[in-house]
Amino acid sequence: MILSHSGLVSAYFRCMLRRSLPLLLFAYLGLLIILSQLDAVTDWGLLRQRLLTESTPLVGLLSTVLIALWALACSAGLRRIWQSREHRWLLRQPVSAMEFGTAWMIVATPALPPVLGWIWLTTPGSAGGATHGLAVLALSAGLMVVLALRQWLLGLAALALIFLADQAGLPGSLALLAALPWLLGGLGQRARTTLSSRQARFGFRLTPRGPISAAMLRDLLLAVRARALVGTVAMTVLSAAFLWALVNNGGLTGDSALLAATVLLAISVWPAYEGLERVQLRLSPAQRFPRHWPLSDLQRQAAVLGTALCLTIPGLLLLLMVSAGALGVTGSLHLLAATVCLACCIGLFLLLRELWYPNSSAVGVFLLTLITTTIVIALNPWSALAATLLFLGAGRVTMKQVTYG
Amino acid sequence: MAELLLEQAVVGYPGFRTRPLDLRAGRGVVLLAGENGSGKTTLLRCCAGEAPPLAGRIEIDGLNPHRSHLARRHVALVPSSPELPDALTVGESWRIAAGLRGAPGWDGQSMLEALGLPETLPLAHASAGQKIRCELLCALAGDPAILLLDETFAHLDREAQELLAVWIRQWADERLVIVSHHGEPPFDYQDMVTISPEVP
Repeated sequence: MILSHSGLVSAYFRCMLRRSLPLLLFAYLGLLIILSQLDAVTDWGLLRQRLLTESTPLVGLLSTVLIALWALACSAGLRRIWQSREHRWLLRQPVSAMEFGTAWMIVATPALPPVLGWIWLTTPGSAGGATHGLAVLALSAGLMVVLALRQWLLGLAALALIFLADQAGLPGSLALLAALPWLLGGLGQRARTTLSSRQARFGFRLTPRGPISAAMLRDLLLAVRARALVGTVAMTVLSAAFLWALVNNGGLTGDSALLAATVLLAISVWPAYEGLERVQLRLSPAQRFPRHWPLSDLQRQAAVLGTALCLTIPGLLLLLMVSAGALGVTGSLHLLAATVCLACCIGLFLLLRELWYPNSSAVGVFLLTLITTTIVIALNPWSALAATLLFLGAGRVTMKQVTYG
Repeated sequence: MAELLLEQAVVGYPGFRTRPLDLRAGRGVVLLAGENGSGKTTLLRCCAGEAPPLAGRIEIDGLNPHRSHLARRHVALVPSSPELPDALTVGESWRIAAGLRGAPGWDGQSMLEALGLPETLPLAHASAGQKIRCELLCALAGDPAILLLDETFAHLDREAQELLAVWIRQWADERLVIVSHHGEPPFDYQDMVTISPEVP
């Protein structure tokens, strides 16, 4: 079946919409943690009554600040959609600026439910309230798009309009809705300009000293520029906060503390692994390390493990520090041994994923091994060292089987 | 200087194999001729160590380039389509290539200027011709003894083609340059190898 142009464009935006959901994971996780803390001390019905009776400018200001914070968190995630080179295709299509703006606002809709929740809290259930809510929702979606495009002045203008929509009541909301097509056209034009501009890249003049450092430098540069690490670091910090909250609330005590901490650590380590997987295995092994490169198998293994260690050790150290008590990790030597052991475990599984590329099915095995690893780590530093050596040996065997080219 | 030896070498992949080839060369320019799909790229990739020959021998100074990374240090390939990651800049690419070849002190600055490439140009924004020039710069990193150019002239403008022809003549004094080319070659060559598929 031959698809029409408009069909293709709408299919493209449906694809973008699906892609936006996982990018908002961090923002939603953060919101869930905040809400779970607030839920224990808040009566939401009472809060709604209070907000409805409070003075309008104060609630409007609070709304604007909260929407701005949420939009900032979401736009950081959504920004990665804009980095795709596929947009060059879109720029060539006969799509008007207004359609363009509308489509990008629809891509931002998965970020709107919390805004909707806030509107429910602060707006009375009437026809005027619904119009006001619709105007604020549309402006919030636009705000997320302009912030994701790093158009800070437009973002400030959108925030001012959100505040005005709160203050002006029904006439203001109606005027905003009437002006929406014009706003969408402007937004679409701005999005086109931003997508077609070429961004500068920071320079890097570090000279690698040998084949291993050259391969590591390349992978680390790709890692930093793929911008997969920002989300991974954020997820690791969030996981550490989650573990810390559990430990402090007495959630990890008693006989099952070790098992509980192990499972939680394994789940918390996942973001770090996921980030590495995105960075290292986006290309097939043959593309990552072409066979004609003058590297021996040992040098390739050292480069993969070196990159894994560089990228994961800070995050793993953080995770282990917060769960050290429950895991039975005592002393700085034990902590260091445990961190290196976990990093080597991740390095081994990066190699296994290469072995099974493109049918990567190492997820379950990875989690099981990670759980076993953390139990071994809990015994003493020497068991962690033994496990590290085991992983390195297994990595060497795996590397021999991976076909590069 | 390193010597490349092809002895009854048959290259290919499942469903395709070339006729046996013989060559022994250590210096000069060798033109690799053949029709589209005759196996020119496959042969160059086998010489660079990416894959072993299906039959016969391919050796660099007596070492199998597919097995020995030390043999691969003597040979560099300029692929017909760019393979360098888009996330890197031109300057980073040649520095990393020099490091990989075990020659971190190699200075590519003069060649960079001769090729007319900006140091900070991100490869994502480079044209096809600029990408091939960058591949050429990376291939030259560490001064390899054997240089394999796979249809390199195809992406270059006339001025760059003339410049490359002059360079090939200069390089041939101290290294082996094998150039695959379709049609009339715009450079001088000492030897020619014609590759053709095996007729079943």
